[in-house]
Amino acid sequence: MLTKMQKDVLTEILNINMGSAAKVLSELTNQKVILKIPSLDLQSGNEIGFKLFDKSSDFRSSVLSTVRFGKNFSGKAYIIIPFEDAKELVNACTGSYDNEKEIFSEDIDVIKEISNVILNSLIGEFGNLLNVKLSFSFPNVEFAEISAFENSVLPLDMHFLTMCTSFLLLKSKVKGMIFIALSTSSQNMLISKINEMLAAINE
Amino acid sequence: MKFLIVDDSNFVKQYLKNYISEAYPSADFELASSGEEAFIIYVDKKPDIIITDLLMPGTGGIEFVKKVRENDGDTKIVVLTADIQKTVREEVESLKINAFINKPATKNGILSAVSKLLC
Repeated sequence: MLTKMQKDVLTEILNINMGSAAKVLSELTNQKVILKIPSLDLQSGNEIGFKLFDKSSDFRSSVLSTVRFGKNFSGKAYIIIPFEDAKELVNACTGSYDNEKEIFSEDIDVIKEISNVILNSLIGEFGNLLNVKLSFSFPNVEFAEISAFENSVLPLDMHFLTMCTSFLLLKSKVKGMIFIALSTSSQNMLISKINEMLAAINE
Repeated sequence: MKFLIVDDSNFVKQYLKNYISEAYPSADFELASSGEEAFIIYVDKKPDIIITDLLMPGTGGIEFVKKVRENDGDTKIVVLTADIQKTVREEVESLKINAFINKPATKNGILSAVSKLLC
């Protein structure tokens, strides 16, 4: 269980990291990016899907990009974009605007690259904070109806520190959610670091 | 002037080629999607400047750069990566590369790096 102060510090860390990721997204799309305050939770795998995707029907049919990161600090990170918005995001990055709604293989390539850059930026900052080297998997992109993966996002019987935030591209109205789940050992590593930071402030 | 662009993303290879072509219309380009493919092209075509990603299927960018540097210290190497970790930057810079750029690469960022290497 996180104390209020630990949660405050972690929220602020995530805010800062999300700022780096938003800068990257803004440069890719040449648009202003609006962020929401991140939420933090300690959840079991079978709680995550329900809590996350119950919030909005916009995400019913979505493009899901997943990156695993690991070694000393490990977990999974997801970017979830409503299907209709995914094509807009590709157009915003490539600068080409057609009326085509379908997502083609070259669009998947763009989505993978966007996900890679954003999630590297976000998770990499944790590596810098903890002074550990992180390895990243290649992004995996899939289309899904949210109900189909609600219960398979993470192992059901494990607990995870989950961090969730959302973004909006102002001009093209593309919205998305970013979700990070940390393993228990990684959660402990992060909390130790936060405790160090709090102790240093109180000296 | 011959460039070898190495990235598993066609999107990245295309925008890099477009940016560089605009500034250097007579540039030639070879493209590769992995370290293995890139090394074969490097041995065959002897590019002047290599621009490479790090995370790629098969042989990644770090292994590729090491192999190139085992062969010669003269070919200019620019690393272009989404990885923002300081530890990774330090590791890569120890391989005696010529420039390190974080993605997303702006046109100015890429052209600035390339123009410095051509001086």
